[in-house]
Amino acid sequence: MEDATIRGGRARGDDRHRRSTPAWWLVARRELVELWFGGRILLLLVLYTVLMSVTAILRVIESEVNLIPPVEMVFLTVLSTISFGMFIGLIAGADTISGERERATLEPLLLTPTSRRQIVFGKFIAALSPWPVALLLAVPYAVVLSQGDAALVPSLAWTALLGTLLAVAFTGFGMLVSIWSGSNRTSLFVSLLVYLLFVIPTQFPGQAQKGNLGYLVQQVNPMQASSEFIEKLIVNNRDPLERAGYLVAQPVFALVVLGLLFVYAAPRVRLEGETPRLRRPSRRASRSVGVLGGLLVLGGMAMPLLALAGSSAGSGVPSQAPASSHDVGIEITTDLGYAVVNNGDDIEFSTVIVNTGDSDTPELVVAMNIINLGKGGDPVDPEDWSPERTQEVGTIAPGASAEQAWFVSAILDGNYMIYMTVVATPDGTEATSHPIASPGVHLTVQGFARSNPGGVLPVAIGVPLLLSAGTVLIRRWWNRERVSTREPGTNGDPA
Amino acid sequence: MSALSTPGGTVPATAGRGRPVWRLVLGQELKELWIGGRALNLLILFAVLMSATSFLLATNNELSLTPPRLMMVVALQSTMSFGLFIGLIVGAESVSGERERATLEPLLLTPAGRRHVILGKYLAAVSPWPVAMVLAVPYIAVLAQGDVALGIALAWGAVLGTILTFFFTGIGLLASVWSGSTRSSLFVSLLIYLLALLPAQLPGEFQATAAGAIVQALDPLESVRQFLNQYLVGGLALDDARSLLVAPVVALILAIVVVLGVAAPRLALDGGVRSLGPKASTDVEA
Repeated sequence: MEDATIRGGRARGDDRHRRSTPAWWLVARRELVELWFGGRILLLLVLYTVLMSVTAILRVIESEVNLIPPVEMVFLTVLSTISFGMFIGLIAGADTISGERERATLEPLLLTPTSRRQIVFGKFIAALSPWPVALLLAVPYAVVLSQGDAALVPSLAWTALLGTLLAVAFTGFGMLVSIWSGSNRTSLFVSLLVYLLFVIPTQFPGQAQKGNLGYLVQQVNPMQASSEFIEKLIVNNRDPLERAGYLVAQPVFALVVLGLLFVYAAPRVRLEGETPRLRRPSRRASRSVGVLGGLLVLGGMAMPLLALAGSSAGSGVPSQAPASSHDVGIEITTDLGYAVVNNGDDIEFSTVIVNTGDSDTPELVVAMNIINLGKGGDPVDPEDWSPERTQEVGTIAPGASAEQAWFVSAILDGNYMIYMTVVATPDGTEATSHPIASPGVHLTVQGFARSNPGGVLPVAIGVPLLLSAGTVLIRRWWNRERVSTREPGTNGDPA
Repeated sequence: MSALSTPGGTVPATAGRGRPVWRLVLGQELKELWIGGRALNLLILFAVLMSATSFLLATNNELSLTPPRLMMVVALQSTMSFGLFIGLIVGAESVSGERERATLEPLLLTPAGRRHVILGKYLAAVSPWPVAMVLAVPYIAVLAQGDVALGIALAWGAVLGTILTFFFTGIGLLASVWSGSTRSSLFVSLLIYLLALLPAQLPGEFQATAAGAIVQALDPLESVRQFLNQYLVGGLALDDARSLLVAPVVALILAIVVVLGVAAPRLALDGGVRSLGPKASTDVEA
């Protein structure tokens, strides 16, 4: 930024036209020149295109044997684009201020009559610049891999929107860390560590990301929320409104970061980096926070107990007529009409299929379906609720019956209807059959969470606490040792 | 390493009562790493991450979503991912950090062999891993809920985690030896770490294909992940799953050979890849 400072100053002194140019634009222009002509960003973009090319070729090879549908390949491509856009923005942002500090070019920049907010804004615009290029570079890959699928345009549009929000948020975050860090090393390390913390939850298996807590983690993590939203939209053909909860984290994160960056941190850019100092709270305030914290912890622990006390789990069999098809003589009944359970409980019931006709039934298949009756409730993915959603029954002789056992885990609270559908195998490719639905099992799942699931809480709290206490003790001991070795005449004096 | 290089000025190839120099370097590095607090800070972060992961897994188990065996393996994989990360960043800072603090020059002027210096730093950077593994045992034991495979899972976790930690620490150390600044070495190391995590994002169908097998063969982290899943959760026989262990073992041997055989003797005051050039002139083997 040396040139930017000098030339910017000269421009204000010499040229009337350039005098009207806002300072942030001068900063941004010089930063863009350094960033792009310096070659660092181009190198990263080359690496990015190589990775995209290799993965695209691998995906196409696998697609040839029909293992991966085109929409899934498009999804993986746009996901890679978003991840990379965030990464490159973070790296560029993390270098902006702390890099100038290390190169000793921050001082002349701060001495110019340009406001610090304008300097930070100019640098922010420049650090954000690789994202649109990365997005444009991804377009040909997505077009080729989509193989003409109609999901291409919406997926690119959502990628542009969500990717821009994430790029803004992560670039801003990198700059915040850069402003507050004394060295580039610290800035880069903290930024990349935070990036990793966002990436690591995506490594968990699918089962570990379900349930209320799993879904909450998905929605709070802007990276995971974007991934889940785009996947459900383009791979599972879901309505965007159904997944609106996954669109909150990105704008909130971006707004918080931008607010902190431009309102709080930018005007306080200093020659030496230092983290913002919060005033030491008074003893009274500390006590109040402690009491409040304690109450929150106690309240949090009591909530599940209150939920348990208030719940009235139960089940029953109401009088009901069996569902039947007079055309083929098949009836299906359930032994459970309703159930009120707690979140996490298991429900077992069975269905019986009776052949009331005069001839053998065709081959039969029974499938389970679960409908969320709550207003605005998420669609239910039955595979999250039951390990066995489909059972083959075979043929049933006249007057005979077949019984099926079912098992459902109530993983989310709400109001649901479970029903089975008996499907007769059609006689041929040009024939069809009439599926028959069973009476419904009305399932009411009450919110309930154990404060100590699987007995893990003592370990989850105890290990970090013990380790922290050990660290504090070791540091105290070490500080005491150092002081004693400095004082002559003490036992620890090496002299 | 400032304590080794600055006050004494010279460090003999064999220190004191015939102790090899690498042990002296190791002792100083361990002191700085552990008493200085960096390793402990990273381990606290590790414990917090393990706590969050364990709580999430246990909640899912309550909802009958994740069986205990799978929880145990996921916790083991998390232990490795987080644990080797510590080695990676400590390794990435070890030499380039000395360069930035201007303490590398006095260290190189001592008659200590460069291979000894690097070996001492290598072992010190790996040292947080066993502690991380020990810290992870209570988490894994609670999540296993009495599963009979707990013992074998911990044994495999310790062995494979050690292999991966040596490999990734070696990567960090290489980046540190060849980089002019810690910024570059950290960036390169973390980029490689992220690339190693990427295959887990690919769909399950892909993992089962020939291309997936190639990716697993090239990525020791993914290879170990697949091994633990298939052997401990999927019930695959050890003989059938053994091929997945080739990548981590080969990676380990390569890392040690390149770090100690190629990079260490050519350790220079300023960074840069000199693998094809001659050994540094001031190198004196102990």
